[in-house]
Parts: sequence; structure tokens; C-alpha cells
Amino acid sequence: MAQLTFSIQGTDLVADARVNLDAPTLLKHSTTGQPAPHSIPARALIDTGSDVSLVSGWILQQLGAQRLFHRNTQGMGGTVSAGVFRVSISILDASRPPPWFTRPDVCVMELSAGLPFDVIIGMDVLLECRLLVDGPNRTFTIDF
Amino acid sequence: MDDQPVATRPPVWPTTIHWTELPEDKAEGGNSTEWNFYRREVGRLLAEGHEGRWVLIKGEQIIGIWDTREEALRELNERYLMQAALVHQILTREPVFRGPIRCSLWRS
Repeated sequence: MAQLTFSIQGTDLVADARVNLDAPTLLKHSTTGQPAPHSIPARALIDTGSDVSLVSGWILQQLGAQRLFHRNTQGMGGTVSAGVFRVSISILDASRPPPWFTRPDVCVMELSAGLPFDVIIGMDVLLECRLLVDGPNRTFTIDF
Repeated sequence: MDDQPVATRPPVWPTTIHWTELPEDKAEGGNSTEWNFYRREVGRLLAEGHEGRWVLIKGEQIIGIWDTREEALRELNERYLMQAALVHQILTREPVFRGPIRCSLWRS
């Protein structure tokens, strides 16, 4: 089983990430001879309080990601409906070689601009790995 | 006295929403046109027996209805790759997801 370990920053679980178009769309680009975008490095916040994952608008725009689905989400102002995008997300330690924890096809909502992170990793992604928080040592580990 | 452990109680937030209560998407662009069209059509689609099937909508036109998401996505990729469109499962009650704890961070 592969493992990634990160320091807890303040009270936040923050990790390196890379975002790209979802794998089926990248495959379609490949088979039709279209140039595929490079993955974009990002700063990700691990949030077990969110069912869904989110990615900053500037990343989605740079990738040319497409809104394909819609999701109803409970927020402070009640239930709202918003378009969601298909992307692939990798969690990694940028200072070390792979392995990366990669989810090739994730539906994400758009994250507002001007925040100290570019990606929120929600339970939809976290349920695919094991997350261990070592509070006394101020580290957290992702096993996959 | 209610002695049920708190963690096993059902959530206090709504986990599903009836189709008649689906919120409008007030965003400009994206696939808000397709979503708001779906909201108007979903009652008819359910009445016609399409519960659980997947619809592909482009603009204000239903392109087709399939049994699986993969079939709808295949058609989408053939005809509308990298264009705004909507692939959606037709349901009487739709799931409602929790947004992030810092829930003011996301936008529609």
C-alpha cells in the first residue's frame, strides 16, 4: 500500500495536488489527435466536512473543463443547484517522486476566487483512501 | 428520555429534495440554460416513465434518454465535446450534498 505523509499546517490538512481534465476526456483528446492540457499544480485542503470536492475557477478555465452535470448542495443559504465539472485530481508530495493518489474522474464544484487554496478534497475522494490524522505529531497520512 | 446516541441519529439537514423543489440555477453561462430547462421538463419525463434513466440536454432541447450514464456521456462526447450540456439522471427525489464546512467558499 502506498503512503503520503504531510505536516498539519495550523489546524488545516493541506497537501499538494495536480488537476487535469478527467481521464475519459483526455483519452478522447488523444484518440482524436487534439492536444491535451498539462495538469495544473494546486494547493489542496482536505475537508471531511464536505461531501463534494471543489476546484478554483481559474484552474477549470485554464483546463477548458466542461460543465456536464448539476448538483444540489446544502449551504448556508439553503439548497442551491450548480453545474459541476469532470476532472482528475492527484494528491502528491511535490518534494518527492511518485506514487500519487489519483482519482481519474471526479465531479467537482467551482471554488470561489481569492482563497488560500485551489482545491478542496471532500469525502467523495477521501472515501477512496485511508486518512490518518496524527494530532500529537502534527502530521496526517493518506494510504492508498 | 431520548437515549439514542447522537452519532446514529439521522442527519438534521435534508438529504434529498423533491423534483418540484429543485432550485433554479441563476448563474449566467455554464449549463444553467440546460438545468433550468430540465426543471421545467422533469415532471413530464417522470410521468412518461423515465424515472432512473439519464437525459442529455443541449440548450433547450432533449437530445436523448438512455438507461445508463455511460451511454449518455458517449453521445455527449460524440456530439458536444468541450461544449456546455447537461447529463442528468431523472429522479423524483434528488440527493442533496453537503458543501464544505467553510460553505461560503463555493459558488454556483
